[in-house]
Amino acid sequence: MARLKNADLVHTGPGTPAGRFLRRFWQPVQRSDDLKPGWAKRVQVMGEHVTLYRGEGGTAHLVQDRCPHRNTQLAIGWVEDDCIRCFYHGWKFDGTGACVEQPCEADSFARKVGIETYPTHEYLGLIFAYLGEGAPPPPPSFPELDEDNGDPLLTRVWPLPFNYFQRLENSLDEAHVHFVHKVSADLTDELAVLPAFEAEETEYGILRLGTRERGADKDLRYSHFFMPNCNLLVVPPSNADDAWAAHLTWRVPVTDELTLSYSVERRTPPTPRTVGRDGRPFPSAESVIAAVLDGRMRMRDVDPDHPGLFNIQDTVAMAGQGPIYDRRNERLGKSDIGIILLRKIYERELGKIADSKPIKKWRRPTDKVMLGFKPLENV
Amino acid sequence: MARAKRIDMVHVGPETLTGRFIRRFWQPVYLARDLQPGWAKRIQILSEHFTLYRGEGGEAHVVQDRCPHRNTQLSIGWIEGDDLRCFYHGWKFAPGGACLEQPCERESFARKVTIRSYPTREYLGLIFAYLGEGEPPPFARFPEIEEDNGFPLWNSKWDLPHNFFQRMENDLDEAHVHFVHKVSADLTDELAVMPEFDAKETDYGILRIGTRRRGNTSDVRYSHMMMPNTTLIVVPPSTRDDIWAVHLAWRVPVNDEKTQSFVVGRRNARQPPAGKTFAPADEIVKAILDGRTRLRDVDPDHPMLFNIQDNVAIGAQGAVYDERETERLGQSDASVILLRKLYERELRALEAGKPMKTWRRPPDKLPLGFHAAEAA
Repeated sequence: MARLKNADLVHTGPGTPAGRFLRRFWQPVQRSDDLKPGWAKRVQVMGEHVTLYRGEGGTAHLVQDRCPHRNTQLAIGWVEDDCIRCFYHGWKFDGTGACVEQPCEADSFARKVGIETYPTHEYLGLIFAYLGEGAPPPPPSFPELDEDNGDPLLTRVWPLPFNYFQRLENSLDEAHVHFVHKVSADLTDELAVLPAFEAEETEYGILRLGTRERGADKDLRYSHFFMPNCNLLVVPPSNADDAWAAHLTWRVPVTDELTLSYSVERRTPPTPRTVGRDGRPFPSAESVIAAVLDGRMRMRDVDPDHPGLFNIQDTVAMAGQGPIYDRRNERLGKSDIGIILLRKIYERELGKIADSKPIKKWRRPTDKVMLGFKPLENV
Repeated sequence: MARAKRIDMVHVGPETLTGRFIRRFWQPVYLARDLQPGWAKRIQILSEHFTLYRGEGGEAHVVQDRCPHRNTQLSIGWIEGDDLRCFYHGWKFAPGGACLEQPCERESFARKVTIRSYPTREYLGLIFAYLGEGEPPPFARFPEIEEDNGFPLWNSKWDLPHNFFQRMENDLDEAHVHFVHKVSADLTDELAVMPEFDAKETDYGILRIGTRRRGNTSDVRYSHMMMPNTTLIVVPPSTRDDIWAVHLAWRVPVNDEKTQSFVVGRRNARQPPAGKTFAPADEIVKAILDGRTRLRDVDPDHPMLFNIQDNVAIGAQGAVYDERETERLGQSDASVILLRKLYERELRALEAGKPMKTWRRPPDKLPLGFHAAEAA
């Protein structure tokens, strides 16, 4: 088998092996609530700009970035029913990409002009799109989050100022929780001891098991990674008022140096505090991250009540690796087994993409997967 | 003699000749008072990043930038006693670079892992590090500054938005004082006449002598440049109530386009006139370089006046001045020419793998400032 040595895992623009691979899966491109009917937005996904709009009837559409006439951004245009009309000279396109009007042309050549469109799907408060070659796979389905447990669906998005693959590796790294999120880990009994790690490839991606022994008791923490960039796990409470919660998250490259995290949970979030322990309003997470990376502030000085604490902790650790992490000088150990497996799978699949061979057919079970802490019976 | 290609004196990364040369000397990297016990900082010196931290016991340490495990910045980590623990997965390192703990590894391979650590010491309120190959040279002391002359020890650090070599050439250029610093020179009798210039290579670097004749008497001003980037001079008062003061300065490259000046002297801190506020020096420099204001319009009471004047002159050469072959140098540029010759000679020796000169300064005080010239 032709194997890519040091496969390029980090660049995701059109035509790159990782970019082509990620485009074979449905990707979230916007929070549903952030796109009102009649609005269009220019969004960037994997280095590529596209136009996202919601027709007046409520259907979301994703089409190419620029008008084929004189290439201005379609996002500045007018949404009319389910169509978008270019702001510059009024060419109008329907949701299938067909040009339906060219008002200034005496002899319209509209039927010769089409724009690229991409399938969209809304689920769990997110707009998903399929930006890849050929027919899309079945749309995403997560019975773990479908079930109404009485708590509201909480869908969030936040930017990460570094490459997506760093973020994926961190998701597969159970050890970091005990250090990066120490303040929170210390609040829980479950994370009182360091785990032993296991990771195995599954039909959908990677199953991770963290085994923690406490005297005679042992428990297992089940976490899941769905190829190519989706993580399902339970996350610890971030402060004393909080609780363990199921957390489903996609890490979507905007550019090679910027990533968006989309997350879905079903829970009542703790009432956010507005003032810190010093009695003053919390500084923004971005300003705290910048101050720590610049050496003006230490992590130990960050207010543990900060509502963005988890994000601050993770972002500092990963931005500290650089905007695009160079993996040539690492010393990996057994605790990095999840990361090593992720890279192996990516390298194998990107090799197939480069060789124009079919990639593995990734699919998840229709039933819920085992999630969170389960006691392990003594054998 | 067939002349080898032009030698590069401005680029300072780890692989460059100049970068390797400067790394053979102790360099100041931080103001001691700006680093509290239990704090770590990521610093850039000579186009390379390092982690500087002060242990809880008070000792400063310089180690490599990133953790060898997964390469996050060590500066965001935890200081425990004299050790540094990585924020990401808790690997712990001793100041000498040994890995002491790998908490999540069941079979630790800590003894196979080390980080680079660099000798450090503190002197005159500055933290120095040796970032070069092999053993560090002896640490040079400066009795000219150590001696209590009745004025307090004073130090400072400021950023210069240009290449270090431009800044050093300016240090060796006595003529510019009469023009760039004219406002101040006009305040002093000593600088009332233009000098004659002399520059000599010494055991430590360059001795500069400026001779000024006034009627039948003449006096000489002694100034020193210690290889590779240190200047020891007396500087004129910048305002009427200021004094001539001993002034020791290192011009440390941050990267090719940025330099940090670490300055130590003995004098009272300048008190800006009461009731006056001043625009930041950097903004004024930029406004002058952009043509929005003129140097003559700068308030002569500005506490950073000297810095503004120099940064305008040097900044106007460009951020990385590297067109020295197009210059028209005169005899007043003797010491600038000598500096380049010494650099070129040493860098060529380094390139050829030949021994370089061992630079050392005398343990006693050097003559400094103005002295009456002996009658011929």
